[in-house]
Amino acid sequence: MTSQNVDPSFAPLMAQFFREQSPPERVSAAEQQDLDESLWAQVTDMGLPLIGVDEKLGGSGGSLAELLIVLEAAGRACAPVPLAETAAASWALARTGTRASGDLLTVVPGDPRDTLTVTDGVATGVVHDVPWARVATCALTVVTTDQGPMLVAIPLESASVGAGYDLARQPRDKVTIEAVPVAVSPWPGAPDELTARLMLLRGALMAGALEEVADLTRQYVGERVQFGRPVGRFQAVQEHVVRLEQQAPLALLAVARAAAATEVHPSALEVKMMKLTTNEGARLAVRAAHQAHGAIGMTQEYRLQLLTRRLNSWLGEVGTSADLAADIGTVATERGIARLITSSAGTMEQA
Amino acid sequence: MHLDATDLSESELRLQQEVRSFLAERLPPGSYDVGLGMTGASDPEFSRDLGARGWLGMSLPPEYGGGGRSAVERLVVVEELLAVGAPVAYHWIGDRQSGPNIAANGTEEQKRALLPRIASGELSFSIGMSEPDSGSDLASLRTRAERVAGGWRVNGTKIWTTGAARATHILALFRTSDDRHHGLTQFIVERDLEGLTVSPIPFIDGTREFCELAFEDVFIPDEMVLGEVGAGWGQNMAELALERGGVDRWMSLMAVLDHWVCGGWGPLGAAATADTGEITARCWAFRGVSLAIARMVDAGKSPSIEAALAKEMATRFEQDCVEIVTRHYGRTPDLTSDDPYESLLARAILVSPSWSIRGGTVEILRNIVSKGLARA
Repeated sequence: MTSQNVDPSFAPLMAQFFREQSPPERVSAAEQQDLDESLWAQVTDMGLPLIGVDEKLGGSGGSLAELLIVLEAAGRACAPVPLAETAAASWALARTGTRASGDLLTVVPGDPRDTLTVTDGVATGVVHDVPWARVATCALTVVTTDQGPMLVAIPLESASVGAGYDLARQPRDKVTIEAVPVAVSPWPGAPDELTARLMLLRGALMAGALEEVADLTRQYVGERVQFGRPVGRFQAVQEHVVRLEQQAPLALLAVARAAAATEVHPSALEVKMMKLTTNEGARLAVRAAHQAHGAIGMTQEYRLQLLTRRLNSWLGEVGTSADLAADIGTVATERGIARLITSSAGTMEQA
Repeated sequence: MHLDATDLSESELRLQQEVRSFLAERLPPGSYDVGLGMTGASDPEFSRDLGARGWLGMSLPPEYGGGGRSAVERLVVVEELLAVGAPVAYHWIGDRQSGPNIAANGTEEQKRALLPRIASGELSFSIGMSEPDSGSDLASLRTRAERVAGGWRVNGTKIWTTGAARATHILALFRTSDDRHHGLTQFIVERDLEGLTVSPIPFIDGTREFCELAFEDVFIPDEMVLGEVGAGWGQNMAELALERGGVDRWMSLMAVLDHWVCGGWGPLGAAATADTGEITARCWAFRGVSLAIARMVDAGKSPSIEAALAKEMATRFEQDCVEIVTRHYGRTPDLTSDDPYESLLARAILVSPSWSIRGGTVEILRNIVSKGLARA
């Protein structure tokens, strides 16, 4: 991903860790429980969710680039843990000067059906599709108040959590609270910066999954023989392979560029552009990979579905294509396309 | 394919501002024929103005009149030109590929004679590759150069050669022996040689840029062989690889897009705005790819697979853009309209199928990628 100032041994190390600790059997088994506690313990023992959070605030230190490498590796292995959510929430708490607790945390992704209101430190309402809420301590969200944007930590032990699932059967819950006192801290940025952070981290997971889908498919079409030759020799199949070879590096590049932009402007338009193009890339990749694999790819005993079910979930949440396209389009109609895309990282809004 | 994220440096951003200021003054709206990317109008005077500012032949060595600048700096200039549909056709091929090819493979005399005039915008190049029976299967070409005293005698036909009628030079690939790949040689052909007949082939939009070149006992002196005899295939492939990853592969419609997006045909509704968002995000992504590839070239790498992957998707994207804008335009645009952007959209509908054909069809590019992956 961004290679600057990151120890070159870090990415292979993370790739190996997740490959070994999150093999397909374990990912499948995790679907039958709320959380693979022992995998989550391994991940937190290594301090992975707190990378990018200052050590002085109880974090693991390190850079955003390193965190993205971890997420890319986790995405490749479909690691069934709330790494992106806890990392984004911990980053948000650190921004308000709150010490990291090491708890499992999540973020309210934001949904048109949400009804949350916060008055004098007391919250009431419903928030939807909160990832991993049933096993999390707190769900964080930024609420705009008369005093400006506030970071609100909803204590989930005081909430009613209705179980739901994403397409990879990971928890995605409905959270209802009724007159619950919540911790509120002034948020030192724009209200959309927390969602942007989660969007960026999800993008890294998607990029990792896209790489794995490309590798798996390339390997499969080189081995599967039909009509007396590997199916990858057929031009029609090559088209699918090319599609996959394009989407993984495109996603990685987009994530790295969006990350650079957030160092300048935490909710830079590039994050939305990254998510929109990665959503589209995931859509194309899922189709191409399944078509190239044929029937075997449709079975639960083959691991392609672990990847494609996650991609299908992620492309539809924390930045849906319809919302992102409308937002980006609105800026484009004000500034023009060429002006926007030729501006340097994190400065599009001033283009 | 791996692409590293990169951004423009301070000095590259300054160059961007210089080009913008120049274009605002030199090409005020309404003062020029807005074009579709690299096939914009041909305006030798504009080309010479760019040359005078050091914005042609930018990556050529300074001792031959070039700028000694980077591929990224050239990208910065080119994307500003394409964004406004500037008249770039006269110098395009020479600046993008013939100049660098001659710099890499030419003799001292060739470099001294030609490179300064490419960098000044004086010369216009065309590429003579395809033949009636050799398109994507280029190695099957048959136009033959036979050794004669002091040079070569050429007989045969080149076809679908863009811009040959106005070109001063044609960089052509001829057969010099029967060996399929090692029997090909590149030649620098002056356009006004005796025995060379250039005939326009009317293009689908009525323009006459496409040409057929008939060679009848054309004598080409030894000094005009480019590189080694028999090394033409490799030189030609290297040249193609370099031209595939550039911004010109996804910016053909940019002037029309920005006219539409910025309300030139009236304010955009919600559906059009959303489509604009998708197009903008994809342009941002492709711009990142082109920039990353240019940085790789500057680092001395040869990103040919990356460029093939980029062109394969970028040209299809350009075609998607034509369909989207046309859908929102609401009626079939008129090629003869007084509104230059309407006319340009009509032209784009007609010519955009060529975008995924020229410089290597998407099918050939997929082959190149697949072979590259098999070797990796």
